[in-house]
Amino acid sequence: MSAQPLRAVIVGGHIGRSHAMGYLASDRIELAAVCDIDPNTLEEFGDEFDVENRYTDYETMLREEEPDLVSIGTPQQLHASMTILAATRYSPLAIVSEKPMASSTGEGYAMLAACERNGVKLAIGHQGRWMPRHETVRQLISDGAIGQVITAFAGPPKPDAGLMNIATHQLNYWQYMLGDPTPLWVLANVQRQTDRYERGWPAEDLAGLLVEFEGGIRLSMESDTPPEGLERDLRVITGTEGVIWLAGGTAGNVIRLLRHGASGWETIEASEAEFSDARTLELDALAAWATGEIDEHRGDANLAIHTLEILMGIYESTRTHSLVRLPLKTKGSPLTAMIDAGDLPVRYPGHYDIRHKSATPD
Amino acid sequence: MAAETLRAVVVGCGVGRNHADAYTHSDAAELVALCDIDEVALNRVADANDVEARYTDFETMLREEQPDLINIATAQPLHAEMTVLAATQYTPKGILCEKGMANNMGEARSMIAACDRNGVKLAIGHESRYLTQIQEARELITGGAIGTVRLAHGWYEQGGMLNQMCHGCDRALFILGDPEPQWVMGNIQRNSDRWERSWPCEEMAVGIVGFADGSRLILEGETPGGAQVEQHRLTFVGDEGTLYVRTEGEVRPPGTVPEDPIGLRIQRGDGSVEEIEFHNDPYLDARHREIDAFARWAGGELDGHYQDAHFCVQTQEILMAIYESARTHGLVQLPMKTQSSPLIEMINSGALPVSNPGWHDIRHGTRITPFDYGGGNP
Repeated sequence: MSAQPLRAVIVGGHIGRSHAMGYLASDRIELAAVCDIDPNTLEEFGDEFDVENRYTDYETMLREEEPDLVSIGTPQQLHASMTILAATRYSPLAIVSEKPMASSTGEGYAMLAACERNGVKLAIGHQGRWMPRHETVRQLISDGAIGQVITAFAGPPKPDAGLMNIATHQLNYWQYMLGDPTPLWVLANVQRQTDRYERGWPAEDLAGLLVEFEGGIRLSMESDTPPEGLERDLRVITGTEGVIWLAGGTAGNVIRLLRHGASGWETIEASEAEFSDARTLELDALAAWATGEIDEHRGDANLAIHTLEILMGIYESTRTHSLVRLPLKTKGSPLTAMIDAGDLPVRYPGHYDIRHKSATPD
Repeated sequence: MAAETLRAVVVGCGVGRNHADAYTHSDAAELVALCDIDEVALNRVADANDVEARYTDFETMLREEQPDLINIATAQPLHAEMTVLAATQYTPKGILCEKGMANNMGEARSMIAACDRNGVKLAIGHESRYLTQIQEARELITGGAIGTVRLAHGWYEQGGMLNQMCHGCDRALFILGDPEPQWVMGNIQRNSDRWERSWPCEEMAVGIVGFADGSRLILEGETPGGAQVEQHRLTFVGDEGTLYVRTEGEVRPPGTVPEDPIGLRIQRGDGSVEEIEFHNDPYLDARHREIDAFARWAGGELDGHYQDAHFCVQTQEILMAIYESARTHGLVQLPMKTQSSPLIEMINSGALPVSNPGWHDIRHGTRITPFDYGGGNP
């Protein structure tokens, strides 16, 4: 089909760069305009990708450009308002909002509703679903290579990760590998004894969590826990008929598989891929989904909302000292609720931000 | 060696009936006296085991009998006081104290210190260390049958952490070869007014335990089950294979004794799967072996006992650290600094409000006066 390329715009000149690279790599899409409130960032962003139409105001860009695709690459606390504005006023074909989906499940469901009511397809930027390693593991599990999954364990990702920043990716691609089962409940705890932020939004120091998915699968995961002894990977899926290890580092591509009745360990090398390659595939699929060429998109926000439910469930379990069933009844952020209520006193003072170079509290 | 027959006494004629029974099956010791504040229970167990010397006061029994072995089978709130009294005032050769070891870390450490200082050997009643299949699992794991263990995951279905999950945690540590835990991150729920033998008890718990080599033990207590975890209660993942400790049993109602047959399934690095068939080794048989070995250890015939409190205290550390992690919203480094029970601290400070009211005790059928846990009577 020789359709006109779709016209895409990007807001947010930092992570938006990866969206720009993805759009430029796809022949279905033309990058029409970019936006950032910071003129210097905007200039660098526009120059790097040779985009003439540049805006410092998001709504002006939407009004002027009437884009088919909107990429939202701003920090999480802006995702809901920007998604809802675009969906309700400018109804593009599709919106891809960066992860995490939103700051709370209330915002997440409002995003879903606004897009649903306006016929806008909404994806969340969890490109880990296009990593060949994760695709391979998902296939192995759905093929029954290790029988029924009993437990899964994901050790901490890189240091200074944060649940909402990096663990959100990890959770999302674990859901993907496990076949996107619906999460049922969370029992977890977080620590926030320092005044830690991530791009202007409060972040916890570390977290440990247990989730049960439908089918009795339990996933335990850690974020920012002590890395001592973890020079080797610790990401494991046990099944009734075998075990799978994900090895070779965070972006590695080595899968070790031991099936019952096999003649020993199988080492499967998924194709090499960077996160940026996955982004290209993700955005190319977004264009195909937006035009109706494909019916489903792995990043569909209806799947990503489960990730947000788990993340908020971790905070809610911490807040209430309870196992929390999903979907949550609490719609705001239990993390900020705890901080506001004084439930998480800062024992070691000093504001800092794990992603902003200069610490500016919101 | 023709060891002398040691003189043993048992206090607490509830669980203590199993201790008494075990002594009648051991030729290393003779059961000389029993004690319980409830004369009905006392006479029942004493009659069954043909024991003449019967006491309703613990210290009177110790003074009169001067026993070599003391089995403390009272409820957990009394363990520390009785162990310390016996060790410091009456220096037996050995004390076997039931689980949960103590109410908190301060008590647990004082028990060990009192016994160490007085040359008394102290064991904690985690008799599953003497279950055949559990010992076989330990031999497999510590013998490197699945390589270096990186991850273990256990699920325990009923009975509270200090009452039942302590067995599960202890069993996992035993199979792993008693490594020293480094830290714990966990949480608990107590939304109802739940008690276990008149001591406050949480409804469910989760803990992630970190070891120095980076390996992890995940513990779940009373979380909703699911067919897979109900049948694969304890899973060990090594870099060369996996070992599953399995049960065939149904999930049991609270308060019942775990008697499920245990089976092992090991998958080795060469792909072979070996089923070590389900074996019904009743806890009572493990108890016989435990107590016979205890008598021989105390008497110097054996050099060690699997249930040496110096091992089992790690279980106490982990359970208290799960409470402490819940209390502080933090990762807890071991050994614990907080000496009191973080569960009690939370209840007393209002950090665990009862949102679903109604007192209930999962082991006492009827309400009796709670132990003084420092929070006044509810």
